Amino acid sequence: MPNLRQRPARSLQRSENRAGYLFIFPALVFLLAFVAFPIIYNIVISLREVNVYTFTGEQSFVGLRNYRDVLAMPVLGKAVRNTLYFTVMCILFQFVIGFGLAMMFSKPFPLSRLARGMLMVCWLVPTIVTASVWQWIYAGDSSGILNFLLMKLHVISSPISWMTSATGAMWALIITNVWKGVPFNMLLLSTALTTLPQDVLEAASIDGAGRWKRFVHITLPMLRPSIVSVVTLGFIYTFKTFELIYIMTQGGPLNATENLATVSYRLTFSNFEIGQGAAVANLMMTLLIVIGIISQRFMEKDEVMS
Amino acid sequence: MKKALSLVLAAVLSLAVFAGCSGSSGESTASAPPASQEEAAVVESNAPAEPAASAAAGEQIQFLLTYPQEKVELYKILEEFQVETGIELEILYMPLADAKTQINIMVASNTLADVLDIDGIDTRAYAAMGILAELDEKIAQDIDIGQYYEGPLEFGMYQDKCYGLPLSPSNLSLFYNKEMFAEAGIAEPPATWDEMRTTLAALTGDDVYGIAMPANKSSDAAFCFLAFLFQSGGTIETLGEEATVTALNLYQEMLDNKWMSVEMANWGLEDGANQFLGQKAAMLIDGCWRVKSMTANATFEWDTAPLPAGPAGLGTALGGHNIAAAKGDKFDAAWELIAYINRPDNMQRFCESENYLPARKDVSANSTYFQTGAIKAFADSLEFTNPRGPLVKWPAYESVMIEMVQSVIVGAKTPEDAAAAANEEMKQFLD
Repeated sequence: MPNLRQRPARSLQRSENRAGYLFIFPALVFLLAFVAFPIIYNIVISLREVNVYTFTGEQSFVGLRNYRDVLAMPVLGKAVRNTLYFTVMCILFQFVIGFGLAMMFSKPFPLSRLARGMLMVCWLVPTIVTASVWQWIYAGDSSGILNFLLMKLHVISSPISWMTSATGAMWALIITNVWKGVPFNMLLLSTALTTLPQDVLEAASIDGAGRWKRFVHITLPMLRPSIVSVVTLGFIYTFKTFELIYIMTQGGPLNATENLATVSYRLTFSNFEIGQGAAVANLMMTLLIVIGIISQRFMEKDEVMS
Repeated sequence: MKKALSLVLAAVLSLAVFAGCSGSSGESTASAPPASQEEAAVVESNAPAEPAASAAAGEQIQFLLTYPQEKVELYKILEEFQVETGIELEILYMPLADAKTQINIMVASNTLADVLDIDGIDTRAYAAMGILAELDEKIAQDIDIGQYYEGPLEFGMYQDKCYGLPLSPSNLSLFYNKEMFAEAGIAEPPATWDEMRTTLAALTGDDVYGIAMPANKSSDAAFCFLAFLFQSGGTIETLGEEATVTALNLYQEMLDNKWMSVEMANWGLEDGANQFLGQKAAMLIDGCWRVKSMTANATFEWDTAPLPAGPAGLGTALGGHNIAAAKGDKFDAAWELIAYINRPDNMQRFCESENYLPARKDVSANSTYFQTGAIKAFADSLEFTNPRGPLVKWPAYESVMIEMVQSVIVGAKTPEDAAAAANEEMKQFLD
């Protein structure tokens, strides 16, 4: 008897499995064609000599030479440091300011909806516009409004050369990117805030927990999954920043704002060193995967906790 | 589950990487024509209206063109070409900034257009890539090459063979604000570096710099520096030697005296022109194509002059596009188009309408347009205009030059140190 019952169950399971495979098939094809293939192709290119002389001819296999070449470039180390510095600083400020605004907008006050809507404009404006406008704002001579204001307010005594000094240009980019990224952080975090169960917070305040304690011990831990995803997404977006830098500083002055994306672009599309450009892109991908794995660890911890 | 998730995550991340690398290539190139269209679009495809007059009549060729339809005269010439020769032209319009990427894609997929309008500076790279047809034989048959200025011609040479003829040669000269000159009591634009020094000192005021020119991290910076390099006797092959130091010292001197703004490290040609138009700079180094917008927008009296002569005499640098043919079985028809555009009357029409310089001496000499007004200084300068490069690895070479110039401007290196470093670095990028 048990044998008889088992057989249909197994075949049912098998056909269910088959249906399952059918369902994931389109997604699998898509992933293979548009994700796996470009990645693999890019890895292949990075192992071959692809440059102006070999573009139409035979592209010989050169092993890791492209990687050795790009790692030997002084600009690459600089670009890695810049990319990480830029990303970490942007995320830090975007997140803190975005969180602050999200907390603010979670309380109803007159015109709060309008103000929140207006803030989104920063995020919606095309990068080309943001970059051009901020470039004028930062102008280091008498025409830049930022310096003008700072001097009128007696914060500084002489104009800061924002775009023409190494630290100035980097911070000019960071400030612009933070300005652009804050609404994104705010939006995701305030959505998460509205889903928090109010009863827990109420219970805590009845138990005598003050505002700060409620925030640290209840709001923050409960928002943890949202925070991890906001930071991870923000990290990916910021890590690959390209247009902003390309328009505002072209990586200058003196490579001070060169990041991995601009280096890869320059090698590939400007210098015809396509193999080397691919190598840089792969290094970028490797770094991002490492970061992705780390953030995944965080997420797993959450799953265990909840 | 974990594995699957990490796979997906990895996939998403790498998509992000690729998006980052291929995104928005067309958003910033100072000297490129305004990008009115993002992707290649068939702008025009007209069948011939009259009976064929050419051996290649009835053939259809593709022309990758980076000039938009606002260049009316050029499009008219192309129209007439189709009528006269019976060759059907399919124009693929593509902004210059995107054209390079597009050509790479076309080459990789074996769909390269038959005639290419390319940045002159890239001609040699494409020739080395082996995608361009050699033109010498056809030139010998159809074109009086002795009439061409040396500089524009050299722009299209690779291994002593011609792979591209000039389409829109341009060079840099001096724009100056006549009203400011009159106020300072200066009658003539400076003709030598020494005169320029006194002029700059007299013109610089509280709110006005003596001169504006580009030095941002783009081709514009190298374009402008090359002019000074040629004036001090330098060459492409000897970058970083004595003449380079002389030219860099001049930059340093102009910055130290506040004759020009350190902000130039962030200016392209366009930005310099805006400084001049806003009367924040009394002089400007810019190209001949600017004459049109300057005429339209300047609210003051201005004129042009050749760049001042340095220790080694007069000199300026060449820019502009070349026209080239792809290797292939449509080469004959492609050549007909190149020869047609190079016909003296067509060259004159196009160049006069858009303020590009005629590549032929006879066209320049016979045109009253190029012998009068603001364009004259540029046309006269053709005699001593040297091409940028040309080098196969010019973009990499150029980066070295830009870095050298910028390191002096922002004060990171002395002219001597910057030149020495560049000399070391640039050698690997010579042909």
